[in-house]
Amino acid sequence: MNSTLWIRAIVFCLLLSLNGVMMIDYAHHAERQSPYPTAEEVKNDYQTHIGDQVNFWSRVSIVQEDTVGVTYGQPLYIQTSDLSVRSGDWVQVYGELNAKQELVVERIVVSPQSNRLYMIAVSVGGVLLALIMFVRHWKIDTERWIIVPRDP
Amino acid sequence: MSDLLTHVLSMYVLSTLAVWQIDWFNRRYVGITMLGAVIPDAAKGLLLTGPEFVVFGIRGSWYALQTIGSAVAFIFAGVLLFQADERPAIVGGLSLGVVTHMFLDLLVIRTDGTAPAYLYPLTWARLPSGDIYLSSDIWPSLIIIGITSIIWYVDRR
Repeated sequence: MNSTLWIRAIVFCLLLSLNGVMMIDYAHHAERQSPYPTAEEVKNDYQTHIGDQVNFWSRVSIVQEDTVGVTYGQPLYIQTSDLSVRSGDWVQVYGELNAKQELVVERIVVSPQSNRLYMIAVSVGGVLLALIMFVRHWKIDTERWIIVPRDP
Repeated sequence: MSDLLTHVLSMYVLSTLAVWQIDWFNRRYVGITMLGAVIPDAAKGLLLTGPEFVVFGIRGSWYALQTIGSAVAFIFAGVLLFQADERPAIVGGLSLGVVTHMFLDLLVIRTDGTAPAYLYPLTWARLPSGDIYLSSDIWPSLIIIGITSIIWYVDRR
């Protein structure tokens, strides 16, 4: 292994490690930067967050008549007339916590479970397509351990 | 984030148009821009563990990987894998894919009207969301599949 390859390998690992550092730093600071209480905070002390705004994604746990059950640290209930919501769907909600463990919704959008499965399936297809397009035009030069064009 | 197929095909369309119009934009860079569009979706690791995970007692967030800071680190790591004379074009191609991905993600519906902090670590500012589609909506991918089919057909001729 020549010195250039070693240097590239070390810098490559350092740059990937930088991403690890950012993942830790982001997790550490995100809560303080968010205008909303976290699910953990709501779970630990609901009473102090009554009247607070929250904004989150949750899987719908139950649907009964005009009540939808979601989870944000703890079970919460939403009054909605949107009958298209089914148990297992995902909802994105923005609203206010009230004293009865209800969420007074200002805005709600529904993502059906089937749509999420579609998103995951076609996303896998997207990655494969990008890789195929890449491999068609590029190859690894195993003498230098570097990627080079197939047709320079 | 919209589905990854939409991101990847958007880059196929834009890059193929660039191949037609720009002499120095070689066809081999089409796949590079498509890979660039994949980079911010490294954050989709959250589908496995939730938005956060703990390793050896240290908490991390997948959301960091959808930011400009993480993308820059990925791009400069990736570019080291290529031969030296190709690196400027690789940086450009990957960056184009990342920027287009982030622009399309800004159009996603957010119930509070603000997108995540994509500009981290430069700032925690949350840009306004475009509120056009959900990431799980099917219609954006159907539209881009249609456009891609036309571009692919014309390109083959």
